[in-house]
Amino acid sequence: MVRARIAWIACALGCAAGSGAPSLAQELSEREFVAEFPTVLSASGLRQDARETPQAITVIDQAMIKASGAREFAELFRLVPGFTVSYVTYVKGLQPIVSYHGLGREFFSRLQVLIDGRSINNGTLGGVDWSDFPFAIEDIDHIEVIRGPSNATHGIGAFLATINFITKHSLQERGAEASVNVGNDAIRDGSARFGDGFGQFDYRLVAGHRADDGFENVADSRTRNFATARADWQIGPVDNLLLQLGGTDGKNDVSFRGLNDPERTVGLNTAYAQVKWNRSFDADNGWYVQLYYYHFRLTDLFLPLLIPPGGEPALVDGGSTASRADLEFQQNFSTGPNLRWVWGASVREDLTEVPLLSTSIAPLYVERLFGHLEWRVTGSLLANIGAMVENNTLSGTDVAPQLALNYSFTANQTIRFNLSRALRTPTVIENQGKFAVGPPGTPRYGPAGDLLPETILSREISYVAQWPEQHATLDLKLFDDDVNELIDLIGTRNDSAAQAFPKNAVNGDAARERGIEGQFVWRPSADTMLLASAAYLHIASADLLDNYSTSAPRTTVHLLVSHRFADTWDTSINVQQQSGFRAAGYSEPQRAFCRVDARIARQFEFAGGETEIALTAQNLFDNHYTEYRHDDVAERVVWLTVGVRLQR
Amino acid sequence: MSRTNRFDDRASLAVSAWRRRLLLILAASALLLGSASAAAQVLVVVSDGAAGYDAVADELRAGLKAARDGQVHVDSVDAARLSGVADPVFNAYELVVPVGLAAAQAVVTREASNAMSPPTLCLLIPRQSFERLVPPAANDRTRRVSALYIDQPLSRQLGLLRIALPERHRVGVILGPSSQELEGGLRSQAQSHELTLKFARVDASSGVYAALQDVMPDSDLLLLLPDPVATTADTVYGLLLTSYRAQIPVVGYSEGLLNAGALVSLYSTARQQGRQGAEIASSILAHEPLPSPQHPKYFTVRVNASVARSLGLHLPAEAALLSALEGKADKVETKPDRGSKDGATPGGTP
Repeated sequence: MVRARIAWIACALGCAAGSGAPSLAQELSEREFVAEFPTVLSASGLRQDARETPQAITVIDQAMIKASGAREFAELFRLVPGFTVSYVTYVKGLQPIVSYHGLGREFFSRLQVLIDGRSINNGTLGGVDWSDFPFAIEDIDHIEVIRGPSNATHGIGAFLATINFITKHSLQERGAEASVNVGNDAIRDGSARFGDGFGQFDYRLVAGHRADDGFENVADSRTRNFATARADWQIGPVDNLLLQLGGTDGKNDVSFRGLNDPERTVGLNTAYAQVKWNRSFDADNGWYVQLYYYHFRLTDLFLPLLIPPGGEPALVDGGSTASRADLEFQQNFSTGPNLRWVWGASVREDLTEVPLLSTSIAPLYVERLFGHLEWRVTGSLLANIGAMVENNTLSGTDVAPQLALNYSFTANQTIRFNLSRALRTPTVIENQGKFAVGPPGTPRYGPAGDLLPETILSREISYVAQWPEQHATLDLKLFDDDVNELIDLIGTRNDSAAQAFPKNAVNGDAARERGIEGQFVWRPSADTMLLASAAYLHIASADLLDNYSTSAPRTTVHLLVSHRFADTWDTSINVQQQSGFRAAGYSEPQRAFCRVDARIARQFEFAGGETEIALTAQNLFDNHYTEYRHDDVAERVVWLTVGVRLQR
Repeated sequence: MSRTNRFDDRASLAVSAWRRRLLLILAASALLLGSASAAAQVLVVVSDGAAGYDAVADELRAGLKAARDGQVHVDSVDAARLSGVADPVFNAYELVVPVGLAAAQAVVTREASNAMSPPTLCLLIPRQSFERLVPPAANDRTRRVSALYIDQPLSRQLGLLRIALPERHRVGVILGPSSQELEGGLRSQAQSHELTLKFARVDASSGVYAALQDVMPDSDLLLLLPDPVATTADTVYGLLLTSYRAQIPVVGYSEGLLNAGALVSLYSTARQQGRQGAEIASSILAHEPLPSPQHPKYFTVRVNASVARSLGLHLPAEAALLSALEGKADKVETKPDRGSKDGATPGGTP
């Protein structure tokens, strides 16, 4: 039987190699029936059904992205239960902040953010430069949001949650496309892309520009130029090479915060390169090797307005650079129909330079080994067992295990029990112990830290139900998480009894997070979509280092409805309500708010291409709620989008 | 007097035996076929030397063992070397079985100019290609060439969609120059299967992506049809990837497509083709009239379990899909592939 199959394949390959008569080239023959094709769906690239994942998962697809009316990447996470999206005007200018279950501050967010498998968490402070993605929102295929710790499956930094952006394959966008946004708040965006291919080699080029004025009456304008080149090369029946290269170049205005922190413009540059070689034998068996490099630079040279008595004005360098090189291997295989295995290893180097710190920062090396088993115990019981071992030069070796059981008590109803432990490695700045606390130019010093990683023990019970005939899914998650060894900077609280020396950052707090969250997605027809999500979160903490217990809204509710009329008009409305909270760090209390976004778009054919004109209004009723700071006041933002697509 | 009639005439058997003896001498002297012998009755012509055709030929040979009281001998020759077989030798065979289109073309070309050529049963040939080669009207007149098609009847393909994914009614179909010929048949059968078909036509492989973008918004599954322009090694990757990412399952027509990422595929394996070919050949050797060209009655339905799981789809078991399709089959009698000597089971044939 095996021999027959091999023979069949040999025939197919022989045929594919053109050994058939050339006159048959355009004539249908048996070759079309016996040809072998490259495996498209690699084990590592298969999307998991929500009923079978070890953690709660939210998938944001292209239809949701469009309907959401989001103009920038961070805004998309308003759709996800438990997530909060805020803005802060800080050292780097206007920065979006995305957090899950609070605890975060303006920089370290405790989230893992991946773009096509590359971690883009900033190596200095650990946050994510949400404005510095080198592609446009239209280039996203879908986003997987893993709501819960997942070190064993998503690697270093997958602490409170993981966001995984999957951009479109080169094959998915053929032809030329251009799009422009013009609106109030000085919105001036434009992007263009071109995709083509020859043989088994496909590529896409994307370039664009983003600009806006940020908050009213605050000097926080942003401009970015970005470009990315992507190539997908199917080398043979099993080998696939992904090459990506790109970068951003931009400027942020930073507002006046004091005589030593004057209004100025800072530069932000990022660059990345990625090579991924994927061997895929079938949907369960394959491996990949990936190498990527990411570089971030903040340029911030300025003259303080306060000149010391008798002194000369001296230029201050408030900038920083961070670069990351990461090499990763992963293998997927199955042993029988009920056991699927994944294992892999990675090594990473993070180099950081912060001129304000008078000494250089030692490189951070992180090594990781992980394994994961998916065991279908019975037809209705699925077990996910995994662990990651991480060793790094800051906090040594630690283990993050995970166990999840998914029990399907009917064909369309599943209950999941998940117990997992995860780690967050301190950032180099946290561990350095010499981080500048206070105005730039007046760093305080302390000896390098000996911080432990933060840990989370997460207990989750989830219920997932599907109604296939109605195209509806419901996902409810009940959780009780203990977060320990929380790291924070000392001296950021007015009433801190903690000493600022000898260390700036310590492991010194804990929080218990309990609550329930859920999402309901319903597509009653191809033209209509309803997405509802809600979360209730209670955080208990002694608040020794920071105001953790109020660091996330107690309740959030989100509703997105979209409908297409007459096959040409797309409309959507997006309502978000959030209770008050006060993020950690330098933030001020944010009042509860409700905002409504709306979008209307019309599509038509024009000059042989597809054209779309859209009008989007965010905060339609101009609710002036505040963000991280009291002078960061939300306002109504309206813009017009014109997009044209010419397909090849 | 046609050749078929003469075979029907039992009195002529002795003549045939005498002729065979004579031909043995001719064949031996011609030295064209190393394996030619007195018992030679069936000639298999393979399209080229590829090993895959041997699987069909082997199954055919095995299936003919019991025919004619075990007195059947099967010779084989490459299509490229067929012209080297002298007419008397060629005409002495009781049945010629070309495997693949190139072999069929070689045999039919020869048959057209040779009034004495034996009956021909084409295997591994798509219906459209066979009908182009042997137009149905011309074939009816002489009835010397028949075929077992490699492709499944449209009703069976559409039936599979209904049984496997009963909630999905909107089917996207990308038609190339060859598969455009199936459009009429698909349209006429769609209604009875409660399916709405959305077609896009392409003339070149480069147009496939635009065509896919065109059909996807109106489709909740994609039916792939064999076509040397629309469904090729160059286009399949993009078709499968794009539709998968849009959560649109793909229904294929071959094992290759299934392995590459189609959700479900309906096809006949080489062994199934060889087995049915042997049955038809046996009936011809038993002097029954040459049957009409037919679609396979043995077929395989396979589900890519990983893709199904990833898309969150619960499909009936392969065996259930197979037996449901067998129940629905029209015209062709279908039997499960169980109990065959290679231990094949429904849905899991070699």
